[in-house]
Amino acid sequence: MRGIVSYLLGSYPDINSLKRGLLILSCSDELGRSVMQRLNEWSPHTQWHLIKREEPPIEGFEGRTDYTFHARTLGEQWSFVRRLREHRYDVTVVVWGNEDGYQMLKSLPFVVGAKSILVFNENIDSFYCVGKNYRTLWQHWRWRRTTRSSRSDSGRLAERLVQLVCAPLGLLYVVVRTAYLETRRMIRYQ
Amino acid sequence: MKTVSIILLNWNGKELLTESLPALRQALSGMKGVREVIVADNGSTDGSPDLVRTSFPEFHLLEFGTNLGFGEGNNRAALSALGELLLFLNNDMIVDREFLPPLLHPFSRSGDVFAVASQVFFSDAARRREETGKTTAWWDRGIVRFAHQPLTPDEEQAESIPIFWAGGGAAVFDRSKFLALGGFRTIYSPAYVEDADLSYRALKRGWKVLLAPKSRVIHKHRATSSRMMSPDQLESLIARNRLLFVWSNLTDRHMMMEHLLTLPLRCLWSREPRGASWWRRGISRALPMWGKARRLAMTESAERLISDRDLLVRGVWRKRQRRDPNRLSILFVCPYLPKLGIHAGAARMYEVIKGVSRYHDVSVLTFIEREEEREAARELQEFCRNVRLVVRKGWHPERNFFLLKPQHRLREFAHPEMKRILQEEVSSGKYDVVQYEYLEMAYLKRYAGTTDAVNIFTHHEVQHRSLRQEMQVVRNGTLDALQRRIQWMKMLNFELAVARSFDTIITMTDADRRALIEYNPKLHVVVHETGVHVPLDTKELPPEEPRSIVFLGYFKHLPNEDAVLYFVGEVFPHILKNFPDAKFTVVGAEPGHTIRALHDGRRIIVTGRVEDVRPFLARGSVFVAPIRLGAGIRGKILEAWAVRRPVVSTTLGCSGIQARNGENILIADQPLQFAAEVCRLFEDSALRRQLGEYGYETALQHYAWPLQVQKHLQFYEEAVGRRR
Repeated sequence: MRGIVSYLLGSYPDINSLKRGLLILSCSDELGRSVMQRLNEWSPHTQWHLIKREEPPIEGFEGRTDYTFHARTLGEQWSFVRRLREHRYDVTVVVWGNEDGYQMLKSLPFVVGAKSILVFNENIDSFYCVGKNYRTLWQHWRWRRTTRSSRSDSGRLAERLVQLVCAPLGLLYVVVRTAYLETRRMIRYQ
Repeated sequence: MKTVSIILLNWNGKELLTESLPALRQALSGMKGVREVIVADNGSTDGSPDLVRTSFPEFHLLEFGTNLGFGEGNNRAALSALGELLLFLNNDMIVDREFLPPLLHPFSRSGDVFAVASQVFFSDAARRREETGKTTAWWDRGIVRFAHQPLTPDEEQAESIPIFWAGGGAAVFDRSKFLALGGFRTIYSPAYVEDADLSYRALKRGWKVLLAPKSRVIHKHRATSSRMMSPDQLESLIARNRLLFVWSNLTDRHMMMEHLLTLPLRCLWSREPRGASWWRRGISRALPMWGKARRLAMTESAERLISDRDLLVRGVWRKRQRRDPNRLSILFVCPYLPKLGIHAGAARMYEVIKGVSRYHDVSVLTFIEREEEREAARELQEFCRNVRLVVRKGWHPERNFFLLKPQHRLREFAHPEMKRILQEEVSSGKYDVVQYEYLEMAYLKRYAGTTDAVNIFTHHEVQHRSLRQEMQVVRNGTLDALQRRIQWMKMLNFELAVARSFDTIITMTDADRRALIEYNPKLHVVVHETGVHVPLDTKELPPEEPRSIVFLGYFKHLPNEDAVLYFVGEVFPHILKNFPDAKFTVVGAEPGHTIRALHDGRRIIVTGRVEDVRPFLARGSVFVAPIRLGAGIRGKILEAWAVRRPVVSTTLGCSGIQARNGENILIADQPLQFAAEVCRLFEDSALRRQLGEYGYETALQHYAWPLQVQKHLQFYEEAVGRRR
């Protein structure tokens, strides 16, 4: 929450001061390649560190690439974020498009502690995630709602709410059923 | 050739007749074997009878004076018909000039054909073909679902293919069988579902219902009924008739119970926007006919040869005649492209498919990770009958309200396109065996539709066993430990639930087999170790480099990552003390940041994905398998043996394979002991050679692919035999 507020109250960074950047490819590889190309034109002096969900690496990119697939548990994910925070990036670039399955990566910029966040959409339009840009942010939000191909926002929200209620029941079922299976197994093989 | 009577039922369809009758007249000109054309009129008031009398005097007009509905009208006309076959046509069907011969041909080839239907097109070619003639039906949570499917290019060329029902709008029926069944049932009056009911009763008696794809008609869909009622009325009539279908046919008690229990839910919720209201109206209209429908079901049950479950759940009606009874038709469903040189699982799939294809007809449905892999897939096409590829792109979360499914494993694979093709392929009925590779694909079986094919699940690694070990070995704090325990419990339940629906499960090791049957002894689990390509000549491979250690693994698989970290952290430093020039090469795709961070280009080299792993293995003077986690079999050890390299492994690393400590492998479970064994091999070239040679012999005698393929063929024989 503190991260979000500080970004919203922040201002535009000086491009020349952006030495180290974190690029989070929360999108498909095709879109990722276009974003990288644009970034290289925009700020050629910045040294980029790439975060991607999984292989293959982006062709032609010579900097460091990390894959989030390997952070499986909450503990591993947290230590991964901590490692990123240690780098104190000048800018974090993220892609907020409507491709499914990148939700965690899309929210990653807010926890890595970079000085500013630059957002790209699927048309390679970009804007800083700062309070001054509230109109752009609002338009982007509306654009995403109208162009979403799969489930609607309300559908996702409803699913999350249902999960909130059902998941504890599911866990209870799994615990009870596992106990039953284990007991039967022990009786059978004693 | 049998004689045929053509019956065209009409009600106030003068306009439609002006199109359909000239087309029919043209199609019949010069045709032999057509006994008569009967235009049965259901009391039309629009002058249709006059049109027939004046413009088509060669057709016999049969006037009922009142609207008897579809079933009764056709039944009465059938009674007065003289042909051995009855061709029923709707008045809105425009027949193709060559539509009749393909319909009659199957009757002359087999005596148990009940009906043959035409392929249906719409007059507007741009319109989606809701009705094709290739009909199917399946049991879906208490109700029978009916559907038309598109024809595949192969089916378009076939003379006939099995279908669930022959539509009463353009199909030929054997008259004697039609009368033996009592014709169309009138409880469905005025129309809909009576043709499905008739064919279902025929299927239960063991008769065949076919589609002749080369016989084509154009349908002006629902041209008659849409004049009689609104779309809502039509849908509730169909809902009523679907209920009557179940009530008047089902004799399976469990299915009937399921139907009755789910019926109230249908009135409350349905997938279609107004579906619940259609069901409510349908039920209220069907309920008064419950008694009559159940009496019909009981009367018919005495004649049945095939059960409701076999027809609606197992889909035995789809079974086609095999050209060669000894050649099975097998479909492999794979999560990765079966290919050599990526990882052991992909290589195993490739070798099994290639080997089996020499004896059976093999088709492959597989994911590929990139468009470029299409080129690599061409190799499969050389020995497979059919190869279908789906690019694995994006994540596709499954509905998971209770969070019981391991979403992180499924979301990449539950691809809508894969589900669609799988359903299309499996429900086509052309496969005797469907073999699902890996748990992710086995899960997709639920989307495959009904089939009587033998379902085999190749479980490359029993996940709950692997997670249990992970829980015991990896200690990262309380939260992680709790999360790992929950993951294990979920996986145990999920794996058992998936495995339950398979006829045979193949595991790689006996430990994996036990891990399944200990929890569910009813599962049929067999062990089939993986094989390896053993080259007869290894001289072409590069020579070994002194003091070089090699590890091979696919790093999306946690046990491989753990093995490398364990080796580098706890074993390698001891080796370096004795041999400071020792080098450790880590070969394999998708290394994570922790593995890549080890790369220093001097002592530790991380190669990432390589085209061919064998030169890397051959350059190593020692191959290590410091595995502490996981289940399944380690193909990496077999790969090392196949290039005559000595192996040092943990006990878990070589479990499930014919490893004998000191003879073809060195086993060490403690870091110091492991390092000592590696050092011993560095110093003793004779021992290296001996282990390498014995390992090679073991691979050749037990794991060469030709032997493994023979084993696999036996499984098919047993599995198909068990089903029969």
